[in-house]
Amino acid sequence: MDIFYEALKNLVEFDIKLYEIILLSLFVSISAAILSSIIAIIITSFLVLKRFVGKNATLLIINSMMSLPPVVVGLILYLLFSNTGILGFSDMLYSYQLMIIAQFLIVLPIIISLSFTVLNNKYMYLYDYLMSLNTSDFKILKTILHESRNELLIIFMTGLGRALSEVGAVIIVGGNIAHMTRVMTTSIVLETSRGELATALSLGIALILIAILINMFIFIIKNIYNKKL
Amino acid sequence: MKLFHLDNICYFQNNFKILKNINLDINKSGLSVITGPNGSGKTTLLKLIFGLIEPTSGRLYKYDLSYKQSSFVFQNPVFLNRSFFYNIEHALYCSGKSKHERIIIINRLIDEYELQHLKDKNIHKLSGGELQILSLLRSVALNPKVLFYDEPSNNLDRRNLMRVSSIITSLLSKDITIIMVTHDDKFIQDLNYDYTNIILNQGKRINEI
Repeated sequence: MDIFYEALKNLVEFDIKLYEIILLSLFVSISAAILSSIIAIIITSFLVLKRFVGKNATLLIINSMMSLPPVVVGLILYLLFSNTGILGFSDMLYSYQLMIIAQFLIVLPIIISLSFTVLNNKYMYLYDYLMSLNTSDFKILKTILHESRNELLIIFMTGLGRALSEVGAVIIVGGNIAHMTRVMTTSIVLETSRGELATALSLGIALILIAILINMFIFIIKNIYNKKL
Repeated sequence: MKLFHLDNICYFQNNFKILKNINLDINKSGLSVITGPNGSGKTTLLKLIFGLIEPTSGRLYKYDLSYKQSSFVFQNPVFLNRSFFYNIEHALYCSGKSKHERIIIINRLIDEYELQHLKDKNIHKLSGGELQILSLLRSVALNPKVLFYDEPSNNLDRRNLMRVSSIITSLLSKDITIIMVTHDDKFIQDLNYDYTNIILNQGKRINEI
């Protein structure tokens, strides 16, 4: 119980070290989730609206990549961005930018795969109606995105949750450097191994609270928007 | 004046022949009614003439008509999760009308058919009959020269049936061509309007001239 009280005390007393880690975590994960959502929507829209040879194979590959182990993503990026790697010249290893790229790559197939199901179902549902209007692909896309907005918000949240809870890749490419690349999950690993359980628990509580707060925010936005309809 | 000519049209789906050697002319103005038992290919023929599906063989000729000048009312219409007003507005938006034009058209229609009480209702608060009216108005708003109408009397109570009849009669009086699929003879008789009957049975036209 003492550990739990100490963990809460750290949070309530606004321990700068702790909040620096929380803010960096949020920045990295939200950036990765937004970036992958934008790219995913572009790719998914193309997959939904266009017919092309190899479409099913593309979907199969993307679906398989959903279960890509983050440590493997981290390792591949490490090999590419280390001094001997082909992108070593960029000097990005152990930077938060590379952590964003790592999380982006982990979250991207998840958002594509989930949003494809949602958008494709909506497209099929509205297909005859939209075809009867003989309208442009842009207007069709705008309609199905707008009609799927609630589901897409939930998918974004799923992606953000995946990014926030990810540890394997960011610890490899970020190096868990204090004040630079230390995020909540890597810090929890470190503090637990050092026996600083109260600090680790503080970060764990913060992680859960952030997830609840973001979900509440989305819920309120959804309700306000739906009431306007 | 001829609007459509179907020359020996066949339509297959999964190797099943749904329409067999259909020959047909549809003239401008007036009412054409496609009738026949369930599964005779009525809706498929309607969709094919409209252009939603392509014939497997044979040719469909369209005269003096661009795609944008026709609209389709579906038997089981789908709607956007928005208000009565917005659903009509969306169809007009897709057809390229400006915001100002859209508002004028919708308000005129709502006033003409006395539907002010439905204007701001979400589609989830509309009855089955009111949804059918919305589906019809959404197509009428596009100002079509030809209206394709699949089963207009479907799921309608007496009051909404009369409403639909009056809208159809008013469209016919405005020289709009209506091609309709129905199995409801009484509905057609009640319209009290001369029509061309196209009778289908098992994918074949059985009253071919």
